[in-house]
Amino acid sequence: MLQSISATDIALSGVRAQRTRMNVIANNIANATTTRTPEGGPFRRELAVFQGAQLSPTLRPERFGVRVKEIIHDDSPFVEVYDPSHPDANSEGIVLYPNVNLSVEMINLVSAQRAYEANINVMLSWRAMNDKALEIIRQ
Amino acid sequence: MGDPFSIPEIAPRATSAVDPRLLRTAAPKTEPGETSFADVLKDAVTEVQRLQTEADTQIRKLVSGEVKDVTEAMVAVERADVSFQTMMAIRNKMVAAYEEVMRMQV
Repeated sequence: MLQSISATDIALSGVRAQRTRMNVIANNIANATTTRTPEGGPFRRELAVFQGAQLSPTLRPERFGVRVKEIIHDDSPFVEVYDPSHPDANSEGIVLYPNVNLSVEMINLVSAQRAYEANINVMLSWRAMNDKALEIIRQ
Repeated sequence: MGDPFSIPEIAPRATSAVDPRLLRTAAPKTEPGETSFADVLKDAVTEVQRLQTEADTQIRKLVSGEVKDVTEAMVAVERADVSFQTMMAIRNKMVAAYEEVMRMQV
């Protein structure tokens, strides 16, 4: 019964993925000036990589959803700032700051938010379609 | 959750209130391997009940702070609602058809 709920499942997978992406962006922004990490060195920007994924074997193969495949590190160079008074400054007085660009993060943040909303809108549309279908047998 | 009128509370009573033997005798003769409408409806009610219980669990977890994810809970409730609406639409149509038959002049 109710196989058609799969549209909601697909949208839900999108919502989950976007939420993970949002968490990654939040972490990037929070650590935008973190110069120390447990691994040593400044914080390295992270990116969520999405992958199409079949949600359940009962779904037809062309009905895909999405999931976060992995969270990778952005290997672009760190930002060098001359600040000899900083405890993490090297012998030349250079402090390495994370390779996080706040403007980029803000754009990604808005993008994630919009994508999240789009997925929710899919759910709402599906719901509206379902309600409409039920009207057929309603008097 | 503790609501005595919620579906998970009512559904088992509703199904147990009907003597299964009555259902069996009242059910129309079906070919072997064929499922009767009563069975289909019973399955539907069970599924709706399962989704309602799932929604209840999700909401309880959300309110108690065990789960901090609003979307999952909302979707669980949505699922339960949609399945319930569908079941109700079918049920209403069935009852309407039954009443129509009962009004028939003989």
